[in-house]
Amino acid sequence: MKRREGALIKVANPFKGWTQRFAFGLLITLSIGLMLAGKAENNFLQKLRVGASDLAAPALALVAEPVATLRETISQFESYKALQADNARLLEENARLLEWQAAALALQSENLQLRALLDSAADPYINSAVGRVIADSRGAFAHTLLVAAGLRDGVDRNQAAMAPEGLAGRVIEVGDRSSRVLLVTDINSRIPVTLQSSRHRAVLAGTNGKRLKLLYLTPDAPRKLGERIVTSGLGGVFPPGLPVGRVVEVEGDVIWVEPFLESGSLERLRLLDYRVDASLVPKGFDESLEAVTLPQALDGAAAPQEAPEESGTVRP
Amino acid sequence: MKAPLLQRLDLTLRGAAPVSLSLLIVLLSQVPVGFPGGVPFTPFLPLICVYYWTVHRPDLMPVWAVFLIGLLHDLLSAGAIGVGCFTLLGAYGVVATQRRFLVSFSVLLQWVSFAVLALAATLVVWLLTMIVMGLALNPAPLVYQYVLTVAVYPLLAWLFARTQRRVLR
Repeated sequence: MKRREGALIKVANPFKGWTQRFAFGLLITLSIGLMLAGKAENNFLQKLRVGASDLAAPALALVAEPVATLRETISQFESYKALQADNARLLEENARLLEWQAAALALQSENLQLRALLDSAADPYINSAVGRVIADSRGAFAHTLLVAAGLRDGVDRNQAAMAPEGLAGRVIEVGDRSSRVLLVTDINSRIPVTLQSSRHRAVLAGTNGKRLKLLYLTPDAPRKLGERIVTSGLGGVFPPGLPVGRVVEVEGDVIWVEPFLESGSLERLRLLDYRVDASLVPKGFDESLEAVTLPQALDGAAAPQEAPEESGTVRP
Repeated sequence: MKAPLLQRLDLTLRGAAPVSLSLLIVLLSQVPVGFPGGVPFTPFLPLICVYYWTVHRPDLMPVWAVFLIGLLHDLLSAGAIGVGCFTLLGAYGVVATQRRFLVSFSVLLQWVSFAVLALAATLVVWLLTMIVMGLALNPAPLVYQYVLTVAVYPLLAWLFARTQRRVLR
């Protein structure tokens, strides 16, 4: 007992020496400096963050795999319980979807014919990379995910991240083997969208909650419950027409949208490599984005755009 | 008189257990777990690590390690960088100066003290994040985080107590 107490007194006060106090003060100052640098959106901090994510990615992937397997096993057991009801529902849904498939095929062929008649440009080619979600920081402040796919998989900043149900978010940081996705629910997320049936444009903003807010909608646009919201493709960042969510509540001026994204099933994300025209802009997405957003760059790029299109694209 | 090399190495490795365990916990807390139904599981684990080791073995939780744990948490969790470091260092300062009382408390009372500390820390994180991000943030998810953090404390404290007994002796 006596020996124990001696040991306790020895380690009693970590502030006993001047060096300790100095180190404490120094580190507190450093923390404040980091916060200020973060507020100024320092480039070095961003690199540090990407580096840390890249370093942690292999370890996280190693753990994420068995955790996901375990979760799948549990959800499988849960689904056994509802097997019969699910089966009946799916059979009915399947019958309905077959009708929709027939309609979609008819529309697609009609669409192709009309496009050929109008001689309209082909939609840009979309490449994609699939990555497992290896870190989930959907905390009180940010809604981001770390995905195990990076530059070497062809991932680049600003690519759209798709969940099976719909748009999940946008790539904001990319390292060699990992990239960070800002979810649509994050308070900093802003996505240019279109109301699918009325074709009115708006911006969809995250709230850090489960619902999203529709901003900048023209006052004369119809506010319909259940209206589907899809990406508009404005700004050249996202391909147009990706499903995002559905209007669930209209409170005066505030229109609430529920994302299709189901937070529980976020295991893999598909990152879309959308370029305005992949064959014309080989250098990288940032350049192609600049070409779209900067008017003077657009003028310069417009002239050579004609030539390769004639020779390179085979028209049906 | 110096101990043999292997013995010293052994002691160093054992002494590094609290910090390395804390860093590992911060890393693993980023793995997507989540409750069924898609509710994310987001307790503020680094605070538990810093609190426990500062109370029980402050010699093995130096101030630079506290900073490092906070930095790793900030970097991986995509929160505002520096906020975690600052909050953890502040908590460390408070715990270190009150350590004489805390170490004499019963396990239950230590838990209650942690709950008080976590409340203050959560408020600090909330305010600082709002200042850095320049946004007003809904405090509701924070209440959830706070409750989770306090609820997870006994589990981690038990793990640390076992480590302390087995590895550090």
